[in-house]
Amino acid sequence: MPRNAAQWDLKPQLPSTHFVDPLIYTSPLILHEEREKIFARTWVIACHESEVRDPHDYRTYRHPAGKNLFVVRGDDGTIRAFYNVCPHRGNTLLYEPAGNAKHLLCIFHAFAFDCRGECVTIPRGEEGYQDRIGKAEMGLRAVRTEVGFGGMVYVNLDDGAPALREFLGGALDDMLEALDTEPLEVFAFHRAIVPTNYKLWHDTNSEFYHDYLHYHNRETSLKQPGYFERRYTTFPNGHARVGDQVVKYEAYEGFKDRDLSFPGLVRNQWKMVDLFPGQTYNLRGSSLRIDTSIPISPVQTSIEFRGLGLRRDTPEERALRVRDYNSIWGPFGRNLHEDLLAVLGQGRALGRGQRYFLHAREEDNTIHDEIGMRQFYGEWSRWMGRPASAPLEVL
Amino acid sequence: MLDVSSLETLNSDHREIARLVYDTVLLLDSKDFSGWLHRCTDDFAYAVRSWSPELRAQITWLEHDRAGIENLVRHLPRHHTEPVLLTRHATVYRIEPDAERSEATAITALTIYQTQDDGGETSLFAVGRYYDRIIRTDDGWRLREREVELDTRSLGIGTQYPL
Repeated sequence: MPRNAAQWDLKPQLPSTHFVDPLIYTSPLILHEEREKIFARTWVIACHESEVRDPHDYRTYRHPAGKNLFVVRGDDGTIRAFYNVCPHRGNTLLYEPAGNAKHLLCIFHAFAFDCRGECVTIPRGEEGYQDRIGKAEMGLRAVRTEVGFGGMVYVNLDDGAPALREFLGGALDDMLEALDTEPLEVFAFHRAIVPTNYKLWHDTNSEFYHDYLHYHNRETSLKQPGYFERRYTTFPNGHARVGDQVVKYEAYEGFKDRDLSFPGLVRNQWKMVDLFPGQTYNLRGSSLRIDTSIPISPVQTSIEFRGLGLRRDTPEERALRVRDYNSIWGPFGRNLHEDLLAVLGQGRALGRGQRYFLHAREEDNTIHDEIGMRQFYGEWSRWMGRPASAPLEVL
Repeated sequence: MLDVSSLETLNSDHREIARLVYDTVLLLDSKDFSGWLHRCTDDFAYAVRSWSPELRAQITWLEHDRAGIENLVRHLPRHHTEPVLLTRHATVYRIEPDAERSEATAITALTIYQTQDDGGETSLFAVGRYYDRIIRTDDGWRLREREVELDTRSLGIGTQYPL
């Protein structure tokens, strides 16, 4: 039955954990707080260790808290992260997204830094600064860095935050054999700038009810045995894992079973873990996809997608993994375009009518249960001090 | 040195090859994939690639033989795609036939615009180049290989259509 204006605005007769107010997707104030209260204090993935394979290799990263960083492998082999800004006059230090530089030279006034963040050159320093400012006072801002869980380079702006393993709370333990038995390597990277809120992308990764969106998933998964037995497991700090399924890829006409796999993974097995506040490990048989969401504004999000295989892949094996990855992911993939189209549609409709977003499906934590999103927003509300269902209230 | 007859043949080849490239653009713009594939050989190979400064490596986004491309376009109606029109603007920069004039390569500058069905707003989708390998057949010049080399790597929500 259609609803009138008053009925439309009524809060759902559901627990407050089972719906959210779309203000959390549109408010600049909320995003400002998210940057300070969540992104500046949690572990996020900056890149993969294979992107800085050799000493002095660097890779830039736009951190979701609004800071520009770079990751660099030192001459001692250690991977570190720093703000990508010269402490002298604030110029960007590294303009290229990746490269190799023994000394990090600011092009503006030729201040130079080494790969451990120490200032090594101040041109005509004594003449200008005498003994008031020296190289010891001009080091780069170091950012806590840990490498692991598939060789991902995690960073945290908060010097006092718990260690990465504690933050992950065991969410990736079921995937560790696949991730850490041998080195991985990135073979694909692309960035999608989408007019939507970053949480809506994480929502899409956190629920499988939307498999109806995907012809590919309907044929290869939803219609296959075991699909409705997949269960969600929630973890501390807002993370959630989806139960495994063996996917029948050949059910999509013209597609083949995936010949390759990952260590410890059954052939064609699918594992997936969503990490708070905006990262996903998506392991589908032969290729691993890592998503990292970076809010640009409340209604614009940069999503970085990485495809990974095993470092020891032969060229023929790598080509197979790339083919499998591209078949559903990548900018021309069957599924990714559809997922992004859906959150684009949500983004276009934000603030244009919708009153509440429902996360209310309860199916004993099985695949169409929306526990994954509820787990996320429970944690979000805790970090923000605001209930996602009524964000103008303070907890 | 070419005699007049050879020069005329060469000019004719250039015209026909350029026309083939432009025909493929028109057919793709109109989503006439059957017509497009009619201009391709049975062993046609298609790829979309891009140089990634982030990975300092070339990335392959799409790579199919003819059967793979046919499968891709045949399944398009079963998938959800953004309601936009892709319009390709192409300029053939260089055509180089081999000595026997049985095969040629062509380099074509490519710009692709995207026009929204809702409201008609047009924006730039991608820029890049076609690197084509073309062979002479009994039915005329046909496309054997097309490699789309994209400069643009940020493609919004992407697309399911061949470029």
